[in-house]
Amino acid sequence: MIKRLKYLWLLGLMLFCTIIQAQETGLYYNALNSNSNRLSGKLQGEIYYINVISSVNYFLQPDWEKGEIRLKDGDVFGEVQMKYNAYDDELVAYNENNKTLFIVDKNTVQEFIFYPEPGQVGSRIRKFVNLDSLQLNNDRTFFEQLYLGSAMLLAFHKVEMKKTRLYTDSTGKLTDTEYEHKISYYYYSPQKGMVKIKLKNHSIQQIFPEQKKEIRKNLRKAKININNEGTAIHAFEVLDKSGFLK
Amino acid sequence: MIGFQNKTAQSQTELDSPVLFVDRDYCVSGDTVWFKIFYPDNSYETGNVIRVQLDNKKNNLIANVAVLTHQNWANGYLHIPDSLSTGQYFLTAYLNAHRNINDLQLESKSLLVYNRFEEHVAKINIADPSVFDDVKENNNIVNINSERTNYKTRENVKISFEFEEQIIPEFALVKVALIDPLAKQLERKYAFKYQSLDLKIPDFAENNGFLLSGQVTDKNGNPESGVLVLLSLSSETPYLDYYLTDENGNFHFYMKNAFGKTNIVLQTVGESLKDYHIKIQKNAIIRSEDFSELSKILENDQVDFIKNAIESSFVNKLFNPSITVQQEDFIFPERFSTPFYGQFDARVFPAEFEDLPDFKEISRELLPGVQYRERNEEISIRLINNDRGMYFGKEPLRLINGIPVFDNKYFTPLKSTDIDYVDIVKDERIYGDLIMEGVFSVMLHDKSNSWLIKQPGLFRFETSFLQHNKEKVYSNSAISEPHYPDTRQVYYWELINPENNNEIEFNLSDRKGRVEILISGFKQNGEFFKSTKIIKVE
Repeated sequence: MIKRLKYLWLLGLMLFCTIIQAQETGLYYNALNSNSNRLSGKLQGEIYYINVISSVNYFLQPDWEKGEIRLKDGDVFGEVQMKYNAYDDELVAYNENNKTLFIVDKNTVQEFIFYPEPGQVGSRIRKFVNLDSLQLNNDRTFFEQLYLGSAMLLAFHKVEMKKTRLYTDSTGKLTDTEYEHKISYYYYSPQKGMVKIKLKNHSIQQIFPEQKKEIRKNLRKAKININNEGTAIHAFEVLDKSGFLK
Repeated sequence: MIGFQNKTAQSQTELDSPVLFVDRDYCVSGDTVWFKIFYPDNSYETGNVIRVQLDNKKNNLIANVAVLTHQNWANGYLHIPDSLSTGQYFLTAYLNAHRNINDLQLESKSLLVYNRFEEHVAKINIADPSVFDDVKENNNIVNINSERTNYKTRENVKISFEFEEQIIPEFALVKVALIDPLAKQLERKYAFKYQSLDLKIPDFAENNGFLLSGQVTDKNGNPESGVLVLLSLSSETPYLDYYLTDENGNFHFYMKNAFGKTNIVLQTVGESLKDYHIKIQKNAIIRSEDFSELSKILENDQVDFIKNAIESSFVNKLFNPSITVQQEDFIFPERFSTPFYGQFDARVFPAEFEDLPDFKEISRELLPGVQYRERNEEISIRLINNDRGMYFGKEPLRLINGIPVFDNKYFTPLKSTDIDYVDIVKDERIYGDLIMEGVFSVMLHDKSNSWLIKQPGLFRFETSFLQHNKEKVYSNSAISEPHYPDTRQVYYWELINPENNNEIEFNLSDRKGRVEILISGFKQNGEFFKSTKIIKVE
């Protein structure tokens, strides 16, 4: 009798397994809850596994920051924990229900904005825009938009890997690789296209060779000496107001 | 935008409702009724989609459509079912965002429908008109001038308007139509209190989109909560959405920019092979209060009018088959340049290779990184994981013509000649909160999806989304064919700009009777105006 029961139990288990097998849908939805029922679109992307090297070196922000993702179809996702991976030029976001990181599909993103934590001193709203529609030749997609008016002042952040002599990194590992954060700045307007610039007065003047003098005069009058992002933004504001950036 | 606080009885305390204009107040079953809607509030909070419904006095929904506003206006039509019985019906416009407002006050339009197969209509049940307010006419606002008051059939009529000085209307709508004496008697402000037919449908603001709601139950009709419902469309670029049913078994999907009619596929995904049922809920509102009715015995003149209206409708359809609006194609623009599962790693067109007899051969010979195994009558599919260089431990999401497939046996009989292409995604993907260990999508040449019948838990519904913007053009004053009967009842129905257009002309039809020239609209202070003039056709 006990033997029979054992077989029956085994048979039951097999049947159960068959049912489970038959229902393998290819969709893994254990983390779904009522918050998952978002009517206005869903974020989509590729699951991202972070490691020590990428965590420490690839990202623009050391910590996960709350932000907003605006998709090309107009859907907006607020309060998303995210980071910009400047090594791969990818936006990495955190899926709270699945406790999973994922690379948001680039072709779906219009822009994303990092909002500083309330009371955080010195930090500012940082907006990144997807410029794939410009079909730039260098595979670059996300640019930080420092100024938007008649023209844009853009920054492209790039983390580059460099071979060095062996050294012990901050995690205590012996390594021969260093990561360097480089920023290139661009002027963009539909008329002039994308022009690489330096954060210097003369670099801005060179975009408009026929108005060099007037621009120099304007910047001098406003006592602007471009030497960082803040002064560059101020210069763009002043020049835009005077109608030079059109 | 104009202030609408004292507009009509239609106003809510702090809410503007859509204002409905209909091209006729009577029709014959099988006819098409055209409408225009003015909706001054274009805010994102209330949405820009207006729902229009036709119901009877007992609150039974007869027909409904959803239309999109453009610059405060929406145009559309409703087909009046052929079998609809003779009686008084109501047309009402509302926003989904308002559906759950307590005692939602809306003004409905009365529509008398005469069944085309009823040869003799002697009486009609109607809402007691004495209960409802009159529609006040302000004939001092617009002077309507015609050359004469008596015309002959098919005669060309020229009308001019003169707005009172200092009056600049926000808009003016001119309607010229043959008068149905009974419909004219029933012209009232039918202000009713409404409530949602189904309180579980959320008051979601529809902005360029359509909210579709439904319920999952067991076979006994009990609601099933926590069931994953998938919505898919068999389109060139696969579309998928999901919803986890709430405690009442309800689910909702929002389809952005979906126009026209198509078949949608809804699937339940549960932990067991339980037999679920899915029904689509009607997005409608109902009157929350009854009203008194009376049975109206018709006089001979009215009986003759109805008889003539039915004959005219028949003749009109016979000689103008184009008046019936044909159902239009389904249009649903792709959201992004890739489907919900992202960019494929490989796309294989079997037609580029030797013909292969079954899927086992196809997978082995043509599909890189796809492991298709048949063992002990069990079929498994695994994809190689791009990142790790080894096979995923679980099944990928499998799709045929964009519809999720949960049983691999549907792939087995596929020959390479059946398949248009196969997309393979070898990454771990996330869509909303759903995770997929790769995606395997087969597009067949045959898009009829007859294989769907065999898959359990799958339901196909023909669903109408937003109505394509269509407007009936009445302004064409071309003379109708002299040898063909002309039995139109509406001669003109257009918005005019009184500042640069104060004259219209139209041709009468073969029908005799009294014709009403009606100008209505709103002044810039939000006040409603209406002026009329009657001419006779003999």
